[in-house]
Amino acid sequence: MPHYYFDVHDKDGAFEDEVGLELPNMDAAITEARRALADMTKEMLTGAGVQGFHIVIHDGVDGPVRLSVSLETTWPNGKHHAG
Amino acid sequence: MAVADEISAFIRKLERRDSISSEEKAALVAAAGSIEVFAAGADLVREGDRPVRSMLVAEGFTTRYRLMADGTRQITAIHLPGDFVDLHSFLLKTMDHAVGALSTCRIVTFPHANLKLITQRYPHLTRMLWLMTLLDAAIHREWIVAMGRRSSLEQLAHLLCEIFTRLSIVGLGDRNSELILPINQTQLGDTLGLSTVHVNRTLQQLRAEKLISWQGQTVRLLDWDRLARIAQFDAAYLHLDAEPR
Repeated sequence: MPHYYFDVHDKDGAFEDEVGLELPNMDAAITEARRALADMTKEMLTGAGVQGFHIVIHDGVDGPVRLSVSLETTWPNGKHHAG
Repeated sequence: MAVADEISAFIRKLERRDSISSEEKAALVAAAGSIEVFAAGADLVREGDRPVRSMLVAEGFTTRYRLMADGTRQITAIHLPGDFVDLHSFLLKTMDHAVGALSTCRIVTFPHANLKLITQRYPHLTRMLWLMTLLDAAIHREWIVAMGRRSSLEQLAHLLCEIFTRLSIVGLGDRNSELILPINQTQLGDTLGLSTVHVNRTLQQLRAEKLISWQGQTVRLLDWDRLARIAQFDAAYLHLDAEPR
């Protein structure tokens, strides 16, 4: 089975995966990355000022594939509207 | 190896909490049955089994785990040498979880009939066996707190502080030792309730911050004080005082 590496880029820096995972194909690797983004989102987005983070999957053949999560905060009526 | 040597880690674990008489030690040795070896990845006991004996780990690492319908696994405990992994089956009868070997394990079996004799003849030793299951429960509680309320970094730091502390209790190294932890990133994820990729990233952060080194299965804690502070590790839940019980 091919080997996939998952580099994580977030508020604490870039974490290059040196171990990787053996998975049947890139679709399975994308599923794995989505699972990781899901459980990282909870603690990432509660960190003040954090607006996003992403994972880049490398396999040396098929990639890279980048998956990102971002938070958008908007004030549809403007921030200082009078009451 | 003599049974007395095989259960020496268990005796250390007991003696950390209370004194054990030579009569009680002899009763434990007399209650032991066969000594068996399990390969890494093998199950010592499966969910749904009705064992007629309990198992004490002499050497190696084991886990308690549950398998989910979709094939995912949750590890609910990591057991080390000196742990009586399967004392539960003596009274629970039907296993509600499995126990698997993380590394090659040597275990001492204790037929339930012999454990029953201990409970009839040795009230203090019986309380000490009871204490062992209470300690398992205390560790479960700490893990629930970690899974519910700690960040992944804190949770992983806490698990490492716990494992190193528990190994030192049974005479396997100390906070500054280089230890062999036969657990890979997927198994760590199954333990912490995190994805493998998240575990990898978190281990890298611990490494980058010079808190641990982890090469293959060789692990060293580089800064116990800082790691314990991050983890908010307080060994009180391991009840390390020797006192009459």
